[in-house]
Amino acid sequence: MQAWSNPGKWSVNPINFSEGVRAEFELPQRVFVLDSTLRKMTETPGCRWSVAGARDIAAMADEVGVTYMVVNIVHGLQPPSRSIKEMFAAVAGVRRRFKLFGTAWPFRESIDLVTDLGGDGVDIAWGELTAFADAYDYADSRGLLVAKELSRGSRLEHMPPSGLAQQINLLLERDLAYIGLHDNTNATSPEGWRYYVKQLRKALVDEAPLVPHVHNLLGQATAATCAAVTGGARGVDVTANGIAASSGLAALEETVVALEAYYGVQTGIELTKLRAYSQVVSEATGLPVHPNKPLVGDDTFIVELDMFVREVLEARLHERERVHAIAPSLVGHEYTLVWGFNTIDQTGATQEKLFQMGLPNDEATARRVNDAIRAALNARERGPLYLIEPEFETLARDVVQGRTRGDHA
Amino acid sequence: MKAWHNPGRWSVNPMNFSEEVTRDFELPPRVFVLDSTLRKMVETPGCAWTAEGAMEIAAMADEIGVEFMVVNLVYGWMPPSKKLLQMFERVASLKRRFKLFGTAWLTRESIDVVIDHGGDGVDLTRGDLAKFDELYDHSRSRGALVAKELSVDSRLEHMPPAEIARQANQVLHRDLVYIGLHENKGPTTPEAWRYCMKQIRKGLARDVIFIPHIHNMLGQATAATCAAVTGGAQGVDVTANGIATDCGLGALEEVVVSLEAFYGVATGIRLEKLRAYSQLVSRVTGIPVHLNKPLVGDLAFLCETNPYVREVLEARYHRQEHVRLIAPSLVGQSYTLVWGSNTVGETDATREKLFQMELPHDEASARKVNEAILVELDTRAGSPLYLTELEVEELARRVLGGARARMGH
Repeated sequence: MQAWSNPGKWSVNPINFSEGVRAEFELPQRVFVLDSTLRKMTETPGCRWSVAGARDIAAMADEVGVTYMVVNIVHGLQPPSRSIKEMFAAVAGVRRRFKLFGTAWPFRESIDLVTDLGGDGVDIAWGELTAFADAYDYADSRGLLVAKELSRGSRLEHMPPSGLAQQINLLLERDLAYIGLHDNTNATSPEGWRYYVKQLRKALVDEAPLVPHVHNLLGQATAATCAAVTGGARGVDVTANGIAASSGLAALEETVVALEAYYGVQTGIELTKLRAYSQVVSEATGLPVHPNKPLVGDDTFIVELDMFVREVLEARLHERERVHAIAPSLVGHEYTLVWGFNTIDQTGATQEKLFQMGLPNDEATARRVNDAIRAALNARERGPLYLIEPEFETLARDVVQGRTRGDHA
Repeated sequence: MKAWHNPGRWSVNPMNFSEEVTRDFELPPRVFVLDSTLRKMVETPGCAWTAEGAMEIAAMADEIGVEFMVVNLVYGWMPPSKKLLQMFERVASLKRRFKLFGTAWLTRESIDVVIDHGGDGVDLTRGDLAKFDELYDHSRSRGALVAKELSVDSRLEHMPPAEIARQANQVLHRDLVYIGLHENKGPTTPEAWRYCMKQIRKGLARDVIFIPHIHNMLGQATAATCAAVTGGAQGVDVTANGIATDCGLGALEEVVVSLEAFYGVATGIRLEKLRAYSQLVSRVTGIPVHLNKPLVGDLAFLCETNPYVREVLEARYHRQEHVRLIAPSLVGQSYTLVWGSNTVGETDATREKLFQMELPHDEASARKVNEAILVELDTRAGSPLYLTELEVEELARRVLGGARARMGH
């Protein structure tokens, strides 16, 4: 297998892997996935979440194979609500392999709360480094893993790499699960992220589990997260469907598939479960997924153009899956074949489908079926202006058997 | 004004503009926008478009300031339908500044169809390149501008940079408006797009306007389009709301704001009309805009977290607009302030609001209002789980109405 062509899964541009493109990359072989879906769920305005829904999400995240999940038990200076504590305890009770982190202030009481609720680790959000050392030692003594969030005004530029490296070097005296770099305003370009992480790592005494946390205000969160990995970040902080305020966080499904297919970085994620995970999260949060959402939207793999419909049909007949860039099955999806105005000006797709149905598949018959489709579409007052495959089959049988004339449906 | 800080409009990370980050860039000072909204509208499965709707879109695109619009009169080997030709002709008849292009095969007949229906230019797609000179002269003799699309099976890797440069050089002795590089499945990373653009330009006999046309299968179309510009592309091929099959094209609004704010490249677009353009395109095409869509979604500038609500309120009180990254007004949006579970854990936002309503705004009053908000939220059966500003005003008056009367005395 070559990196750019994983048969049956993906086929991307070989130039992605060329020396010219990757000369400045400092890619790790593998990244871990910090799943912030539960954390962002509770912060997304209007999200209707429940304890039962959170458990569903956590169970599915575990199937997907995330390394960590984190919940904002404290958020800024806001103390935890009863409902969040209940949710956290319920998720902690799920049988799972991922480690569950709760955010905490660097105080014993705050750390104790995470422990008492069943968390595996604390993500220390606020406070001076001196307080962090004490907090680490205390959390460690209680058997907790420890992570540290670094954020100043939620903007990366308020933490220049050299100054931040000094702080991280102090943290590295202890064993941290991850170090979160938070840029909630998405003020940094993907190229800026790559440079930042590289500069930071240059000044570190040892490799650190840096994790970029990037919002999506300009639609570049996925690219910026991947760029941070090309600069050497060891983990990614993402949410299913990219849910979060401020136009969302980097989307888990986009980031992990891009890292695997575009950059050759392993994520440990069971990619075939991504579509199911997306659906569970949408169901549990009430936050819709756009039909055209990359990889997991209902229409992501919709095919209408005559030649592509024909190609998918032909491949399917031979028990293969057509792979243009990404195979739908890679993410647990499948092609949706439809017949619309972009299908019926030619007859290739219709002839192939008729053949596979065991019906006459000459050009004249296909034209009659296409005419019937056109008439049916013209009669529709609202979208979608296409016929799905079962509708096509019914109509084709009617036309061929003379129950419907080709000139009106 | 510094590149990263455009007062009242945006404030991004200065590092984006540092020598180290931009060292490999070959940025043009300005790009033009090729708006493919009409082209993609007719190809998006299920889209119920009309000629009237297309005219509305074209009129608004003109207000926005796009330089070119293009319609697929021919698509692959598919000839134009009557409906498409009627739409094209009506758009051509609009009073407008942008140049309208229609796609054509490399034949006189196909070119004449574009010109006879009022097109300003032909975008030449398929056919025998040996006939290019003759057909270029024919087009020019009829007063039409000429552009050329380069695409082999819609994948960039099927035409290495040296080959693209070779083919471009074959037509560069003529004056082309642009050369489009089409990649419909998005298998190329942003970094590879930058690299390819630079390599292509190295091989050219003279500079020419290349424009990337990139689909969004992995959620990186915006980033890849911008990356191509950092490699020297002088135009961008985009659609409003990113509409198109295959998870969409680079979204006009994301690409132009990124280019202006992240990279300092002028686009000539009236950014303050982007939200209106987005809404119009959604209404005309019936293709929804996700609530959280960057820049133009209904919730793109929704604030619920206590400190942000307070900051926005304070700025508004002083007749300023809070700018975290992008000022909402930059794209014709405004903040939506809401009170939800992430607002009422603290009292600052509520106190500020009460102060501005000239109601008692002490801690106790704010707590009373917050408690009333929580009670109201608990009674809500469905999303959204927040109160709008108007609802908070009504509730606050109800809760504190008596107190206000006493203050008045």
